[in-house]
Amino acid sequence: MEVLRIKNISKQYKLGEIDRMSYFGDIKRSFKKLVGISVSQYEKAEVNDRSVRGNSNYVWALNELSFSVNKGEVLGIVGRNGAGKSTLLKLLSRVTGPTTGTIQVKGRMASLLEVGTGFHPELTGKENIFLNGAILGMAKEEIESKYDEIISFSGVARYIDTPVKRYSSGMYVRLAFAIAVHLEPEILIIDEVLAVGDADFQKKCIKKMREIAQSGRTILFVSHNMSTVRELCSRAILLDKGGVVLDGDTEQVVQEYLTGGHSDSHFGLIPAAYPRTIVNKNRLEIRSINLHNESGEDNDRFFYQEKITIKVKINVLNDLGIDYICLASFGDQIHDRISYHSSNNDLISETHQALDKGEYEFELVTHQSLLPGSYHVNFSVLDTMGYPYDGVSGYGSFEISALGRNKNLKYSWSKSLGAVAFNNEFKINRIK
Amino acid sequence: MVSFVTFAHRMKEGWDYTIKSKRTAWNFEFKALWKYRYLILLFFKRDFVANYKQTVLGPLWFVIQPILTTVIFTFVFGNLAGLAPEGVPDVLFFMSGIVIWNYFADVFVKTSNIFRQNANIFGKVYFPRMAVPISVMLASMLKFLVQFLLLIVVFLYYWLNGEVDPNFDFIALTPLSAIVLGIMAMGLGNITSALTAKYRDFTHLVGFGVQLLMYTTTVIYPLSKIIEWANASEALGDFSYQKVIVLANPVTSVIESFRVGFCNHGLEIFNWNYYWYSIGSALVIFLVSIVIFNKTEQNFIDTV
Repeated sequence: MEVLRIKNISKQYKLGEIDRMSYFGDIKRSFKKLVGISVSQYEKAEVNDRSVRGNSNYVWALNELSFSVNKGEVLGIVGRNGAGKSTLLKLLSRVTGPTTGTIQVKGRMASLLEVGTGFHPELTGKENIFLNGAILGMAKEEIESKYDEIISFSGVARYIDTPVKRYSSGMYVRLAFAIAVHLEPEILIIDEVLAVGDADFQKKCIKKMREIAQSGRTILFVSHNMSTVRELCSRAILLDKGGVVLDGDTEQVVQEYLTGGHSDSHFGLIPAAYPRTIVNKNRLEIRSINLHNESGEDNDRFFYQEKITIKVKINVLNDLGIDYICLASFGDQIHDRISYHSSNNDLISETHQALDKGEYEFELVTHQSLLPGSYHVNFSVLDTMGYPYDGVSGYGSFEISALGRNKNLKYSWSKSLGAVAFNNEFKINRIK
Repeated sequence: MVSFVTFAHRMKEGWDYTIKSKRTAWNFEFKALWKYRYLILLFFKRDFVANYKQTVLGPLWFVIQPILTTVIFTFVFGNLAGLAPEGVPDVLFFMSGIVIWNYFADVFVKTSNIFRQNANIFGKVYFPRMAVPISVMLASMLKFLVQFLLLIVVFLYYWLNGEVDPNFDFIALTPLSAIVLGIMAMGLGNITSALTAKYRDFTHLVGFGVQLLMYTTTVIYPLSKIIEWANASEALGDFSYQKVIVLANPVTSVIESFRVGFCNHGLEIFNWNYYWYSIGSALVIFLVSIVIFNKTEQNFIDTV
C-alpha cells in the first residue's frame, strides 16, 4: 500500500541578496501581473550546479522529482551535497512549499531532525516535554502515556522540574532526543547527517536510528554512509542535481553512487575562507588537496584497500630549510583522526629535502585499509617543535566502498565493524 | 449506495493530506487549528508564564506597569497639561485609557514579529502557524483581564466615595470590546509580520509607530476636547484634520465606550456608528490578514 506519493515536485530558489534591487524586481512582476501582461509562471532557472557561475539568478533545487513509498519500506535517499536531499526533506516536513507538483501522505510524518525544536529555556524539563511533544504533533493523552518512558530514556529524572536553561548541553540533547524517538509517527524521516552531540551521543543516536529502522516502520533514511544504507534499506534512490537518477535495489544504487560519474569533488583548491590552524605566520600556505586512485585519476571514491595518493600543492613563502614535518591523517564523523601519516616516517615519498621559497607538490602514497564508509582528510605542515605553519582539517569527503578493485577482494560484512583493518595473521593452536 | 461508493473511493485514495504548490487565498485552517488546540494552550501558557519567571513579584508586575504609567500620565497630562476633563477623577480617566490601549499595543507589537522570531521553529517543523499569534493574543487577553480587575478596584474606590457615576450598559460592553480590539490588533500584527518576513523595513516602524499611534486616539485626552477644538476651527472656516484622524482610528470609539462606562464622560458625543465602524474594521483587517498570512506562511522560510 502506498503511503507517500511524490509527483513532479520542483523547487526553485532565488540566489543573491534580498534588498532594494530584488524589491523592484518583485514590484515589476506584480505590476505586470496586475495589468495583464503575461509573465511566465516561474523564472527561467538553471540546474543547481554550485561550482559553475550561471546566467540566471534562479536555480532548481529539485526538478520534476517523482517517487513513491510503500508501507513498511525502508527507503534510502543518497546523493552528494547539493543533490537536493535537504530540500526534499524540507518539503516533506512541510516547512516550505514546492514550486510545482504535489506530495500526498497517509498518516503522520515526522523527522528525527527536529531534536529540541521549540524548547523554551525558561520552562522546566517537564513543561518542555509537553510543549515539544505538542509541537511535533502529539496529542495530550499521547504525551501523558509516554511521559514516564521519555523521562527514563532521557536519564534526567532528577532535573525534570528545573528550567532547561540550567541543563548541560548533553542533558538538553538527551531530553530532546528522548521526546523525538517516542513520537512514533507512521512515516519517519531519519537524517543521519544531522546526528548531533558529542561522539558518544552520536553513536547512541545512530544506534537508536538503526533500531527504529529495523522495527518494521516506513522510513526515509538519508545518509552519506553507504554501509549503513546497505545494511538498513530495502530500496534506495539516488539524487543528483535535483532529480532521481536511479531508483531501485539498494545494492545497485550504492554501487552507482560509489562508482558512477566523475564527481564535482569537494577536493581541489582550498577556499580562502576555509578555517586554518596557523601559529608560524607567513611561512607557507597549503593551496590544494587532491586524492588520486590507483589509475592516477582525481577522485573521491575508492575501492576497499585501494592505494590512495594524497597530492598537496604548497606555496612556500619563506625559506624553511629542513625545519618542517608533514602530517596527514584521515578521519570520520566520530573520530577526527583515525590514521596517521607523517613525513618523518618516510611516508612522503621523497627524502627530507630542504624547502626554499617556491611552489611544491607533496605526494603521499598510502596503502590504506580503511573500512567502508565516509572519511575526510587533515593535512598540516609543522616546524620541528610541533607548531603549525599551516593546517587544514576536516577537508573534503571521500568514500571507501566495500568492493575491492580486485574482484576477489571484498569487505564481506554488511556493517562496518570499526574503522581500520590491519594486516592480521590468524591461527589456532590446540593446547589440550 | 452513493455513500458506499464515496467510502470505497476514500479507501482507495485515502490520502490524509496533500502538499501542493498553490493554496487558495482563503484557507483558514480551522480543522488543523482544532487538532493543535493543545499546542495553542501550551504556547499560551508559555507566553504568559515566561513573562514573570524568575521574578519575586511574579504576576504582580502586570499591575505595577499600569499603576506607574497612570501616575506619570496623571501628573504630566493631567496636572501639568490639564488635558483631563472636568468632573472626572484624573486617575480613573487615564487608567481606563491606558489599560485598554496597553492591551491593543501589546497584541499588536507581539504578533508583528511572529515570522522572524519563530523562524527557528518554523524552519524545522510543521504546525498551523496561526497557532502562534492566536496564543499570543490569548496571553495578552489574560494580562488585560488582570489589569482590568485593577481598574475595577480603582473604579470601586471612586464609586463608593461617590465621585463617579458609572454607566453599566457601557461597562457590559467590555468583553465585546476586548474581542474586537484583540482581533484587530492580531490582524494588524499578522499583516506586519508577513510584510516584514521578506523586507524588514516595517520592523523599524512598528516600535515607535505604536507609540505615536497612541496619540491619535483618546488615551491622554478626551474626545470632547478634540471636538471642541474642531468646532472652534470650523467656525473660523478651517478644516480640522485632527478630528478626522482621531475618529478614523478604530480604537478611538472603543476607548470612548470604556470612558462612558467607567467615568460617565462623553455620553452626549458618543456615536454608535463609530463603534460599528470599529467592529467592521476589525473584521476586515482580520480577514485581509488571514489571506496575507496564508500567502506568506507557505514559503517565507526561503526568504526570511
